[in-house]
Amino acid sequence: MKKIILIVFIFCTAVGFSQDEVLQVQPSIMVLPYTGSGENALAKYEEKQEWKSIIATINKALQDRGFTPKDLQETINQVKKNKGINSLKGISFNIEEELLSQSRPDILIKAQINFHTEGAGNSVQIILNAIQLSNRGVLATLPQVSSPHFRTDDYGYIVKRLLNDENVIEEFITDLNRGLGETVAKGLAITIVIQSPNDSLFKLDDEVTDDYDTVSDLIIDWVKKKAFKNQFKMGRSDSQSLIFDEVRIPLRDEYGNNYSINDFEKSLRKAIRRIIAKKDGKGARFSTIVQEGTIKIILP
Amino acid sequence: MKKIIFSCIGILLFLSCKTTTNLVSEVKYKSYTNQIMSVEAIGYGSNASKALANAQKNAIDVILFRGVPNSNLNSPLVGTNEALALQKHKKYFETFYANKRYLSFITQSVTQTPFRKLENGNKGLRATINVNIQSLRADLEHNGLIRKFGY
Repeated sequence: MKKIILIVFIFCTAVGFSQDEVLQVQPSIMVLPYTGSGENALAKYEEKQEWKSIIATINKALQDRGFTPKDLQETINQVKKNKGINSLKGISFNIEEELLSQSRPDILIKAQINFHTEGAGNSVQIILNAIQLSNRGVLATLPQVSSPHFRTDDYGYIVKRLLNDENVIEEFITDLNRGLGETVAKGLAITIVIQSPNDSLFKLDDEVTDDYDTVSDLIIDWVKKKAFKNQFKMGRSDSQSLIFDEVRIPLRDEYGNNYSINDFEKSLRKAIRRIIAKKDGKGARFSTIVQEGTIKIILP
Repeated sequence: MKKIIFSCIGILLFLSCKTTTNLVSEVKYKSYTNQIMSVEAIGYGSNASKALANAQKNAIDVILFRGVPNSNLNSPLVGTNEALALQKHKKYFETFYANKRYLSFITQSVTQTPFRKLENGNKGLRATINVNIQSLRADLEHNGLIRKFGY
Protein backbone atom coordinates (compact mmCIF):
# COMPACT_ATOMS: atom_id res chain seq x y z
CA MET A 1 0.00 0.00 0.00
CA LYS A 2 2.84 2.35 0.95
CA LYS A 3 4.46 1.66 -2.40
CA ILE A 4 1.27 2.62 -4.25
CA ILE A 5 0.96 5.85 -2.27
CA LEU A 6 4.62 6.65 -3.01
CA ILE A 7 4.18 5.99 -6.75
CA VAL A 8 1.03 8.16 -6.87
CA PHE A 9 2.89 10.92 -5.00
CA ILE A 10 5.86 10.81 -7.40
CA PHE A 11 3.51 10.81 -10.40
CA CYS A 12 1.54 13.80 -9.11
CA THR A 13 4.77 15.70 -8.37
CA ALA A 14 6.08 14.97 -11.87
CA VAL A 15 2.83 16.17 -13.44
CA GLY A 16 2.97 19.30 -11.28
CA PHE A 17 6.50 20.09 -12.47
CA SER A 18 5.68 19.43 -16.11
CA GLN A 19 2.88 22.01 -15.99
CA ASP A 20 5.36 24.84 -15.35
CA GLU A 21 5.29 26.10 -18.91
CA VAL A 22 8.20 28.29 -20.03
CA LEU A 23 6.96 31.18 -22.13
CA GLN A 24 9.20 32.32 -24.94
CA VAL A 25 10.62 35.80 -24.40
CA GLN A 26 9.33 37.83 -27.32
CA PRO A 27 11.39 40.33 -29.32
CA SER A 28 10.80 43.98 -28.55
CA ILE A 29 9.93 46.16 -31.52
CA MET A 30 10.08 49.89 -32.11
CA VAL A 31 8.86 51.85 -35.10
CA LEU A 32 10.95 54.90 -36.07
CA PRO A 33 10.13 57.46 -38.77
CA TYR A 34 12.71 58.57 -41.34
CA THR A 35 12.84 61.04 -44.18
CA GLY A 36 14.38 60.50 -47.59
CA SER A 37 15.95 63.97 -47.47
CA GLY A 38 17.81 63.45 -44.19
CA GLU A 39 15.65 65.91 -42.25
CA ASN A 40 15.02 65.19 -38.57
CA ALA A 41 11.98 62.92 -38.83
CA LEU A 42 11.63 62.62 -35.06
CA ALA A 43 11.25 66.39 -34.68
CA LYS A 44 8.55 66.20 -37.36
CA TYR A 45 6.96 63.27 -35.53
CA GLU A 46 6.66 65.36 -32.40
CA GLU A 47 5.17 68.30 -34.26
CA LYS A 48 2.95 66.88 -36.95
CA GLN A 49 -0.14 64.77 -36.54
CA GLU A 50 0.32 62.95 -39.87
CA TRP A 51 3.65 61.49 -38.74
CA LYS A 52 2.09 60.31 -35.48
CA SER A 53 -0.76 58.80 -37.50
CA ILE A 54 1.61 56.75 -39.67
CA ILE A 55 3.47 55.33 -36.67
CA ALA A 56 0.18 54.67 -34.85
CA THR A 57 -1.20 52.78 -37.87
CA ILE A 58 1.87 50.52 -38.02
CA ASN A 59 1.74 49.99 -34.24
CA LYS A 60 -1.96 49.13 -34.49
CA ALA A 61 -1.21 46.45 -37.10
CA LEU A 62 1.32 44.90 -34.71
CA GLN A 63 -1.18 45.10 -31.85
CA ASP A 64 -3.81 43.36 -33.98
CA ARG A 65 -1.41 40.40 -34.11
CA GLY A 66 -1.20 40.34 -30.31
CA PHE A 67 2.05 42.26 -30.03
CA THR A 68 2.76 45.52 -28.21
CA PRO A 69 5.53 47.62 -29.72
CA LYS A 70 7.53 50.09 -27.63
CA ASP A 71 5.94 53.50 -27.41
CA LEU A 72 8.00 55.96 -29.40
CA GLN A 73 6.68 59.11 -27.71
CA GLU A 74 7.38 57.68 -24.25
CA THR A 75 10.94 56.83 -25.27
CA ILE A 76 11.46 60.32 -26.75
CA ASN A 77 10.15 61.84 -23.51
CA GLN A 78 12.60 59.73 -21.51
CA VAL A 79 15.54 60.81 -23.70
CA LYS A 80 14.48 64.47 -23.39
CA LYS A 81 14.28 64.09 -19.62
CA ASN A 82 17.73 62.45 -19.43
CA LYS A 83 19.26 65.13 -21.65
CA GLY A 84 17.41 68.00 -19.98
CA ILE A 85 15.89 69.30 -23.24
CA ASN A 86 12.38 70.29 -24.25
CA SER A 87 12.61 69.88 -28.00
CA LEU A 88 14.39 67.71 -30.54
CA LYS A 89 15.02 70.69 -32.80
CA GLY A 90 18.69 71.60 -33.25
CA ILE A 91 20.02 68.84 -31.00
CA SER A 92 23.74 68.03 -31.17
CA PHE A 93 23.58 64.32 -30.29
CA ASN A 94 22.46 61.33 -32.38
CA ILE A 95 18.83 60.94 -31.39
CA GLU A 96 18.47 57.50 -32.99
CA GLU A 97 21.36 56.10 -30.94
CA GLU A 98 19.90 57.63 -27.79
CA LEU A 99 16.47 56.15 -28.48
CA LEU A 100 17.92 52.71 -29.18
CA SER A 101 20.10 52.77 -26.10
CA GLN A 102 17.12 53.91 -24.00
CA SER A 103 14.59 51.36 -25.26
CA ARG A 104 16.97 48.59 -26.44
CA PRO A 105 14.57 47.05 -28.99
CA ASP A 106 15.44 43.78 -30.74
CA ILE A 107 13.77 44.84 -33.97
CA LEU A 108 13.59 48.29 -35.49
CA ILE A 109 10.98 49.13 -38.09
CA LYS A 110 12.18 52.08 -40.15
CA ALA A 111 9.35 53.95 -41.77
CA GLN A 112 10.51 56.27 -44.54
CA ILE A 113 7.79 58.76 -45.24
CA ASN A 114 7.36 61.33 -48.02
CA PHE A 115 4.52 63.76 -48.53
CA HIS A 116 3.50 65.17 -51.89
CA THR A 117 1.22 68.07 -52.57
CA GLU A 118 -0.11 68.81 -56.05
CA GLY A 119 -3.03 70.67 -57.52
CA ALA A 120 -5.02 67.46 -57.39
CA GLY A 121 -4.48 67.09 -53.65
CA ASN A 122 -2.13 65.43 -51.18
CA SER A 123 -0.43 62.06 -51.36
CA VAL A 124 1.82 59.96 -49.10
CA GLN A 125 4.59 57.47 -49.98
CA ILE A 126 5.89 54.99 -47.44
CA ILE A 127 8.75 52.46 -47.40
CA LEU A 128 9.07 50.08 -44.44
CA ASN A 129 12.13 48.09 -43.40
CA ALA A 130 12.23 45.75 -40.40
CA ILE A 131 15.79 45.31 -39.13
CA GLN A 132 17.03 42.78 -36.58
CA LEU A 133 19.43 44.85 -34.52
CA SER A 134 21.53 41.91 -33.33
CA ASN A 135 23.09 41.58 -36.80
CA ARG A 136 21.50 44.49 -38.71
CA GLY A 137 19.83 41.92 -40.97
CA VAL A 138 16.66 42.90 -42.83
CA LEU A 139 13.70 40.76 -41.73
CA ALA A 140 11.05 42.27 -43.98
CA THR A 141 10.61 45.07 -46.48
CA LEU A 142 7.62 46.90 -47.81
CA PRO A 143 8.72 48.51 -51.08
CA GLN A 144 7.38 51.98 -51.70
CA VAL A 145 3.62 52.23 -51.63
CA SER A 146 1.91 55.44 -52.71
CA SER A 147 -1.55 56.70 -52.04
CA PRO A 148 -3.57 58.43 -54.72
CA HIS A 149 -3.96 62.19 -54.34
CA PHE A 150 -6.78 63.10 -52.02
CA ARG A 151 -8.36 66.52 -51.71
CA THR A 152 -7.86 66.61 -47.96
CA ASP A 153 -5.26 67.84 -45.47
CA ASP A 154 -6.11 64.94 -43.19
CA TYR A 155 -2.90 62.96 -43.71
CA GLY A 156 -3.96 60.52 -41.01
CA TYR A 157 -6.88 59.53 -43.22
CA ILE A 158 -4.61 59.23 -46.29
CA VAL A 159 -2.14 57.05 -44.41
CA LYS A 160 -4.86 54.78 -43.08
CA ARG A 161 -6.27 54.40 -46.58
CA LEU A 162 -2.81 53.65 -47.92
CA LEU A 163 -1.84 51.04 -45.33
CA ASN A 164 -5.20 49.40 -44.79
CA ASP A 165 -6.57 49.33 -48.34
CA GLU A 166 -5.38 46.11 -49.95
CA ASN A 167 -3.91 45.34 -46.50
CA VAL A 168 -0.35 46.22 -47.46
CA ILE A 169 0.56 46.53 -43.79
CA GLU A 170 -0.77 43.01 -43.14
CA GLU A 171 1.50 41.60 -45.84
CA PHE A 172 4.46 43.38 -44.27
CA ILE A 173 3.61 42.00 -40.81
CA THR A 174 3.26 38.50 -42.29
CA ASP A 175 6.70 38.82 -43.93
CA LEU A 176 8.14 40.06 -40.64
CA ASN A 177 6.65 37.07 -38.83
CA ARG A 178 8.15 34.76 -41.45
CA GLY A 179 11.53 36.36 -40.68
CA LEU A 180 11.01 35.77 -36.96
CA GLY A 181 10.13 32.14 -37.74
CA GLU A 182 13.47 31.79 -39.52
CA THR A 183 15.20 33.18 -36.44
CA VAL A 184 13.50 30.49 -34.35
CA ALA A 185 14.61 27.81 -36.80
CA LYS A 186 18.14 29.07 -37.47
CA GLY A 187 18.91 30.81 -34.18
CA LEU A 188 19.58 34.45 -33.38
CA ALA A 189 22.53 35.98 -35.21
CA ILE A 190 25.07 37.78 -33.03
CA THR A 191 28.57 39.17 -33.58
CA ILE A 192 31.63 38.43 -31.45
CA VAL A 193 34.67 40.70 -31.36
CA ILE A 194 37.75 39.63 -29.37
CA GLN A 195 40.73 41.96 -29.25
CA SER A 196 44.22 41.73 -27.88
CA PRO A 197 45.84 45.20 -27.87
CA ASN A 198 49.60 45.70 -27.74
CA ASP A 199 49.60 46.05 -23.96
CA SER A 200 47.64 42.82 -23.34
CA LEU A 201 49.40 40.08 -21.35
CA PHE A 202 47.57 37.44 -23.33
CA LYS A 203 47.82 37.43 -27.12
CA LEU A 204 45.53 35.73 -29.57
CA ASP A 205 48.50 34.04 -31.23
CA ASP A 206 49.98 32.73 -27.94
CA GLU A 207 50.53 28.97 -28.25
CA VAL A 208 48.95 27.46 -25.16
CA THR A 209 48.83 23.68 -25.71
CA ASP A 210 51.41 20.97 -26.25
CA ASP A 211 50.03 20.66 -29.77
CA TYR A 212 50.83 24.37 -30.48
CA ASP A 213 47.18 25.48 -30.50
CA THR A 214 46.89 29.26 -30.20
CA VAL A 215 44.35 31.12 -28.07
CA SER A 216 42.50 31.95 -31.32
CA ASP A 217 42.43 28.28 -32.38
CA LEU A 218 40.85 27.23 -29.08
CA ILE A 219 38.28 30.05 -29.13
CA ILE A 220 37.30 29.12 -32.70
CA ASP A 221 36.94 25.46 -31.64
CA TRP A 222 34.71 26.50 -28.73
CA VAL A 223 32.49 28.71 -30.92
CA LYS A 224 32.29 25.92 -33.49
CA LYS A 225 30.94 23.57 -30.82
CA LYS A 226 28.54 26.05 -29.20
CA ALA A 227 27.07 27.82 -32.26
CA PHE A 228 23.45 26.77 -32.85
CA LYS A 229 23.44 23.97 -35.43
CA ASN A 230 27.12 24.77 -36.01
CA GLN A 231 26.27 28.01 -37.82
CA PHE A 232 28.94 30.69 -37.67
CA LYS A 233 30.88 32.89 -40.05
CA MET A 234 34.44 33.97 -39.40
CA GLY A 235 35.42 37.57 -40.01
CA ARG A 236 38.90 39.01 -39.56
CA SER A 237 41.47 36.94 -37.69
CA ASP A 238 44.97 38.20 -36.90
CA SER A 239 47.30 38.53 -33.93
CA GLN A 240 45.30 41.44 -32.49
CA SER A 241 41.72 40.64 -33.34
CA LEU A 242 39.40 37.72 -33.81
CA ILE A 243 36.01 38.60 -35.24
CA PHE A 244 33.04 36.32 -35.82
CA ASP A 245 30.75 38.22 -38.21
CA GLU A 246 27.83 35.96 -37.38
CA VAL A 247 27.30 33.32 -34.73
CA ARG A 248 23.85 31.79 -34.36
CA ILE A 249 22.66 31.17 -30.82
CA PRO A 250 19.49 29.28 -29.82
CA LEU A 251 16.45 31.02 -28.33
CA ARG A 252 16.09 28.19 -25.79
CA ASP A 253 18.59 26.06 -23.90
CA GLU A 254 18.59 22.24 -23.71
CA TYR A 255 16.10 22.36 -20.81
CA GLY A 256 13.64 24.51 -22.74
CA ASN A 257 14.43 27.67 -20.78
CA ASN A 258 14.87 31.01 -22.49
CA TYR A 259 18.40 31.67 -23.69
CA SER A 260 19.83 35.08 -24.54
CA ILE A 261 23.00 36.69 -25.78
CA ASN A 262 23.91 37.34 -22.12
CA ASP A 263 23.81 33.59 -21.39
CA PHE A 264 26.07 32.98 -24.37
CA GLU A 265 28.42 35.77 -23.22
CA LYS A 266 28.68 34.13 -19.77
CA SER A 267 29.70 30.79 -21.28
CA LEU A 268 32.13 32.44 -23.73
CA ARG A 269 33.75 34.53 -20.97
CA LYS A 270 34.31 31.41 -18.82
CA ALA A 271 35.68 29.47 -21.79
CA ILE A 272 38.15 32.25 -22.69
CA ARG A 273 39.22 32.51 -19.03
CA ARG A 274 40.00 28.78 -19.08
CA ILE A 275 41.83 29.09 -22.43
CA ILE A 276 44.13 31.94 -21.39
CA ALA A 277 44.82 30.18 -18.05
CA LYS A 278 46.54 27.49 -20.10
CA LYS A 279 49.37 29.99 -20.71
CA ASP A 280 50.42 30.66 -17.12
CA GLY A 281 48.14 28.40 -15.10
CA LYS A 282 46.19 31.37 -13.69
CA GLY A 283 44.73 33.52 -16.45
CA ALA A 284 43.29 36.88 -15.44
CA ARG A 285 39.96 38.62 -15.07
CA PHE A 286 38.60 40.67 -17.93
CA SER A 287 35.35 42.44 -18.71
CA THR A 288 32.99 42.04 -21.62
CA ILE A 289 30.54 44.41 -23.29
CA VAL A 290 27.23 43.21 -24.71
CA GLN A 291 25.54 45.78 -26.91
CA GLU A 292 23.03 45.55 -29.78
CA GLY A 293 23.79 41.92 -30.50
CA THR A 294 27.57 42.21 -30.23
CA ILE A 295 29.80 40.63 -27.57
CA LYS A 296 33.06 42.54 -27.27
CA ILE A 297 35.96 41.15 -25.26
CA ILE A 298 39.38 42.71 -24.71
CA LEU A 299 41.96 40.23 -23.47
CA PRO A 300 43.72 41.30 -20.26
CA MET B 1 -19.08 -15.32 -74.00
CA LYS B 2 -18.15 -13.38 -77.14
CA LYS B 3 -21.13 -11.08 -76.50
CA ILE B 4 -19.88 -10.28 -73.02
CA ILE B 5 -16.37 -9.51 -74.30
CA PHE B 6 -17.77 -7.28 -77.07
CA SER B 7 -20.02 -5.52 -74.56
CA CYS B 8 -17.05 -4.85 -72.25
CA ILE B 9 -14.96 -3.50 -75.12
CA GLY B 10 -17.89 -1.35 -76.20
CA ILE B 11 -18.29 0.10 -72.72
CA LEU B 12 -14.57 0.78 -72.45
CA LEU B 13 -14.53 2.49 -75.85
CA PHE B 14 -17.55 4.57 -74.84
CA LEU B 15 -15.90 5.62 -71.62
CA SER B 16 -12.65 6.52 -73.36
CA CYS B 17 -14.52 8.66 -75.90
CA LYS B 18 -16.27 10.68 -73.17
CA THR B 19 -14.69 14.13 -72.84
CA THR B 20 -13.20 14.67 -69.41
CA THR B 21 -12.93 18.15 -68.04
CA ASN B 22 -10.94 19.18 -65.03
CA LEU B 23 -12.89 20.81 -62.28
CA VAL B 24 -10.54 23.74 -61.80
CA SER B 25 -10.96 25.46 -58.45
CA GLU B 26 -10.81 28.86 -60.05
CA VAL B 27 -10.55 31.60 -57.46
CA LYS B 28 -9.89 35.18 -58.49
CA TYR B 29 -8.95 38.04 -56.24
CA LYS B 30 -11.38 40.94 -56.05
CA SER B 31 -10.50 43.10 -53.03
CA TYR B 32 -9.03 43.00 -49.53
CA THR B 33 -10.20 45.67 -47.12
CA ASN B 34 -10.50 45.76 -43.35
CA GLN B 35 -9.34 42.15 -43.04
CA ILE B 36 -12.09 40.90 -45.34
CA MET B 37 -10.87 39.33 -48.56
CA SER B 38 -13.32 39.18 -51.40
CA VAL B 39 -12.76 36.55 -54.10
CA GLU B 40 -14.70 35.28 -57.07
CA ALA B 41 -14.91 31.49 -56.99
CA ILE B 42 -16.42 28.90 -59.30
CA GLY B 43 -18.39 26.10 -57.71
CA TYR B 44 -19.65 22.89 -59.27
CA GLY B 45 -22.52 20.63 -58.23
CA SER B 46 -25.77 19.00 -59.23
CA ASN B 47 -27.79 21.98 -58.04
CA ALA B 48 -27.30 25.65 -57.14
CA SER B 49 -26.89 25.16 -53.40
CA LYS B 50 -24.31 22.39 -53.85
CA ALA B 51 -22.42 24.52 -56.37
CA LEU B 52 -22.39 27.49 -53.99
CA ALA B 53 -21.12 25.27 -51.16
CA ASN B 54 -18.38 24.03 -53.49
CA ALA B 55 -17.43 27.62 -54.40
CA GLN B 56 -17.18 28.48 -50.71
CA LYS B 57 -14.94 25.49 -50.00
CA ASN B 58 -12.77 26.27 -53.03
CA ALA B 59 -12.27 29.84 -51.83
CA ILE B 60 -11.21 28.66 -48.37
CA ASP B 61 -8.93 25.95 -49.81
CA VAL B 62 -7.11 28.43 -52.03
CA ILE B 63 -6.63 30.88 -49.15
CA LEU B 64 -5.30 28.09 -46.89
CA PHE B 65 -3.19 26.04 -49.31
CA ARG B 66 -2.55 27.90 -52.56
CA GLY B 67 -2.49 31.63 -51.91
CA VAL B 68 -4.47 34.19 -53.86
CA PRO B 69 -2.50 35.58 -56.83
CA ASN B 70 -2.37 39.36 -57.32
CA SER B 71 -3.33 39.97 -53.71
CA ASN B 72 -1.44 40.62 -50.49
CA LEU B 73 -2.13 37.00 -49.63
CA ASN B 74 0.11 35.57 -52.33
CA SER B 75 1.44 33.03 -49.85
CA PRO B 76 -1.13 30.62 -48.46
CA LEU B 77 -2.08 30.98 -44.80
CA VAL B 78 -1.21 27.38 -43.88
CA GLY B 79 1.27 26.36 -46.59
CA THR B 80 1.45 24.67 -49.96
CA ASN B 81 1.92 21.16 -48.57
CA GLU B 82 -1.79 20.49 -48.20
CA ALA B 83 -1.48 16.73 -47.71
CA LEU B 84 0.99 17.12 -44.86
CA ALA B 85 -1.08 19.83 -43.16
CA LEU B 86 -4.27 17.72 -43.44
CA GLN B 87 -2.45 14.74 -41.96
CA LYS B 88 -0.65 16.67 -39.21
CA HIS B 89 -3.78 18.51 -38.06
CA LYS B 90 -6.31 15.80 -38.85
CA LYS B 91 -8.58 16.55 -35.92
CA TYR B 92 -8.77 20.26 -36.71
CA PHE B 93 -9.59 19.71 -40.37
CA GLU B 94 -12.16 17.02 -39.62
CA THR B 95 -14.23 19.57 -37.73
CA PHE B 96 -13.29 22.32 -40.16
CA TYR B 97 -14.58 20.50 -43.24
CA ALA B 98 -16.94 17.75 -42.06
CA ASN B 99 -18.84 20.06 -39.71
CA LYS B 100 -18.47 22.91 -42.20
CA ARG B 101 -16.79 25.06 -39.57
CA TYR B 102 -15.11 26.97 -42.40
CA LEU B 103 -18.45 28.64 -43.08
CA SER B 104 -18.05 30.63 -39.87
CA PHE B 105 -15.15 32.51 -41.52
CA ILE B 106 -17.21 33.43 -44.58
CA THR B 107 -18.98 36.69 -43.99
CA GLN B 108 -20.93 36.81 -47.25
CA SER B 109 -21.57 34.68 -50.35
CA VAL B 110 -23.28 36.21 -53.36
CA THR B 111 -23.93 34.28 -56.57
CA GLN B 112 -22.72 36.15 -59.65
CA THR B 113 -24.16 33.90 -62.33
CA PRO B 114 -27.19 31.61 -62.36
CA PHE B 115 -26.66 27.87 -62.01
CA ARG B 116 -25.97 26.60 -65.53
CA LYS B 117 -23.61 24.63 -67.72
CA LEU B 118 -20.26 26.43 -67.64
CA GLU B 119 -17.62 26.79 -70.38
CA ASN B 120 -15.99 23.48 -69.45
CA GLY B 121 -19.27 21.60 -69.78
CA ASN B 122 -19.83 21.09 -66.05
CA LYS B 123 -22.76 22.56 -64.22
CA GLY B 124 -21.96 25.25 -61.72
CA LEU B 125 -21.96 28.92 -60.88
CA ARG B 126 -19.71 31.84 -60.07
CA ALA B 127 -19.97 33.49 -56.66
CA THR B 128 -18.33 36.28 -54.71
CA ILE B 129 -17.13 34.93 -51.39
CA ASN B 130 -16.03 37.25 -48.58
CA VAL B 131 -13.65 35.69 -46.06
CA ASN B 132 -12.68 37.14 -42.69
CA ILE B 133 -8.92 36.62 -42.94
CA GLN B 134 -8.17 38.07 -39.50
CA SER B 135 -10.41 35.64 -37.62
CA LEU B 136 -9.33 32.70 -39.82
CA ARG B 137 -5.68 33.48 -39.13
CA ALA B 138 -6.37 33.89 -35.39
CA ASP B 139 -8.11 30.51 -35.37
CA LEU B 140 -5.20 28.83 -37.16
CA GLU B 141 -2.79 30.44 -34.69
CA HIS B 142 -4.88 29.46 -31.68
CA ASN B 143 -5.01 25.84 -32.82
CA GLY B 144 -1.29 25.69 -33.52
CA LEU B 145 -1.49 25.29 -37.31
CA ILE B 146 0.54 28.43 -37.91
CA ARG B 147 2.97 30.37 -35.74
CA LYS B 148 1.74 33.28 -33.71
CA PHE B 149 3.45 36.60 -34.31
CA GLY B 150 6.84 36.64 -32.61
CA TYR B 151 9.42 34.01 -31.68
